[in-house]
Amino acid sequence: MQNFILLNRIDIEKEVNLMNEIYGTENYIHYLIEKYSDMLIRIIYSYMKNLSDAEDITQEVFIKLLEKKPSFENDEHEKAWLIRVSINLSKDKLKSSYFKNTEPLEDNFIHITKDDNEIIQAVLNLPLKYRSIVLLYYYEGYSIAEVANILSIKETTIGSQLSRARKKLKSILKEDFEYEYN
Amino acid sequence: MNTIKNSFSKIKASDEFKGKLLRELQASQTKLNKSTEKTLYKSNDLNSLVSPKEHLVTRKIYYKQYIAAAATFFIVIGTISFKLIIPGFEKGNTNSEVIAYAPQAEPATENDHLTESYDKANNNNNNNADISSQSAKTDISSEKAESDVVSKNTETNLTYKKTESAAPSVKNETNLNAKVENNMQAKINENNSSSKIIKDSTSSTSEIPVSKNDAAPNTEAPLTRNAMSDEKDNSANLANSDNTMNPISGAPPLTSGIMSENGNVTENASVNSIYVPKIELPKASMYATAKMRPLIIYKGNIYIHTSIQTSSEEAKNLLGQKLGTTKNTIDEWSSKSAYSNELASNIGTTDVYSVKGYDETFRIMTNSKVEDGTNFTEFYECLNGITITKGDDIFSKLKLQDNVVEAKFQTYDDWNNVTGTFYPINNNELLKNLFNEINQATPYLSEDIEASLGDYRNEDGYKQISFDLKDGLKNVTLTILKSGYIYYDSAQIYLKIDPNFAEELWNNLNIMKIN
Repeated sequence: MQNFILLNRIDIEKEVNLMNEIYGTENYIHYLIEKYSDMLIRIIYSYMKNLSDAEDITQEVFIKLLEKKPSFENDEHEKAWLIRVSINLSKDKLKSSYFKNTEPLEDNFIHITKDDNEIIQAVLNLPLKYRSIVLLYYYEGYSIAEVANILSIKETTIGSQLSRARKKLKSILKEDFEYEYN
Repeated sequence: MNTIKNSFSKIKASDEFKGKLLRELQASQTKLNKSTEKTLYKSNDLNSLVSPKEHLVTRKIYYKQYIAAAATFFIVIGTISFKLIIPGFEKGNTNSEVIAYAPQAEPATENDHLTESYDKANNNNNNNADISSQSAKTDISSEKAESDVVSKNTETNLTYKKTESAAPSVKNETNLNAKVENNMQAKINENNSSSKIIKDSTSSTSEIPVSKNDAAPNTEAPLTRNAMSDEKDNSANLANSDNTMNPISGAPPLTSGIMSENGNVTENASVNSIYVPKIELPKASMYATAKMRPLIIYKGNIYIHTSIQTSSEEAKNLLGQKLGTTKNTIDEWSSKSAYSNELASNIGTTDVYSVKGYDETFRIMTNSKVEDGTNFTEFYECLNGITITKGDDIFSKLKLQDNVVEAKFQTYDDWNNVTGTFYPINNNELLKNLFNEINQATPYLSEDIEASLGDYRNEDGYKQISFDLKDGLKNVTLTILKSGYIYYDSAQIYLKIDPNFAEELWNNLNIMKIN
């Protein structure tokens, strides 16, 4: 797929199609959206705390994927890449002076119950670094080792941060916070 | 039911957004395709009358020729260089079987090994102060480090790097920045694989360079030194001297260190001591992906959050003198100046206290009231910037001896999955022996030993023991490795215990035995 693939006298259309064979086909775009958009929206929402920014960044993540065309060993590798890029883009946006000097419009597009909102807000009120860990662990069902691998953090760090997050959530939600494991 | 999963499942991409996303991505892909074609078409070397297909084909052929020419050129250069290097290498290497280093004129003595390790630690420092004792050296380096810290505080600028040039023995940096850690790790490997000079103490002029190709990589450095030492298992050789610049690795926390080499030569230094460098905080970076541990700056030292807990009631008995209130001035993107404020932290605003019964240079605590009036307490420890000769240097600070109310252990799987499942340890004799072993244990920096331990984080190699103490502290945790090491997270060091006892301990931490 690179320019240096040595193809003798290959037809230009075939070469362009070859480069797009994996990335950019309509099927692949559909696949990306159906499989990952919900997950990315959730993770990015935990950083940005509003849906419109989450949607913008989700779109950016997918565009980056189509631009960079990384080669993945498997689906998990692909998923981990998307999660990492989402988190990095979210952090970049949070750091931007534009974001710091603006307030997002009130977001009433998520229809949730009061209880759900309480839990969501409890997670969103956690320090930034804990939110993705909580979501990856409790929502996506990754183990500590897997979360550590995705976020490139040591396992013991993940463990201690998860423990702190749980403690904070417990202190806020008290008996409403249950943590059961698969 | 997973409450968080249930609630967050309500947050998802709307159908409208998915439709919009599909259109945007298709449009983006079309643009990307067009730009790719444009890049292929643009070429000043191509005949404008040539068709696009022929343009592409011509460019392909051009690339092919270019690659072939470049490859041939590099092969030729490489061959010539190789031929030039080989004769020079053979002259200097009388023993082709020597892998680690060229043989010395006289057999290596223990002084040589010490000298190497000191050189490794001191090569950039021009201070060749003659320090006669390990403790004196420790004092000097710690004093200088302290004086530097004091001066830094007055300057309101935590430039720990000053300790590099001031301290005769220390030139270490540790970073909490994971990304920097990775870069630094590459730098460590680069530094360690680069030429090292072994000074023969018997001759001030002879220096035997260690070939870059032959030098053992950093991760194997302890083994190399062992190979050079007596064949008996002298584990003391693995422990670095006070002047050794062995870095702090990126062991479970986010710190890492780089190894640098000072020119100091020390005599009469103990090989058993290690210096745990002061944690240095990273430069702010726009692209930092640092995952910071909770920390507090107090009197110029960095205190790191621990897993130690206590109950709300017992917290009152542990609260010592109030030291101040933390300022939430540090995050992943803070510049270094942010760390110069006393009680700067990344944990928000909370009151800080000394811990009754514990040295505040070692352990402090935070305490805040929750809405229901209970205390929310956390403990922070500073175990960097100190010299450790044996386990007792750390263990004595923990005050576990004769202070344990309850001891329990956890398997790796239980820990990894945060199941909260613990198994009691009722064998007091075992615990007593464990404490004795730890007191006498040989310390190793993570950077020096971790690679040789392999991947021990699994059910077969890793357990944790937690202690609840009489004074109210709970969950004081030690990691037990089947290979015979004890790891304490706050100091990021490994303590090597007697192998026979290690085996006995491991066998006793057995769920089947408990049941």
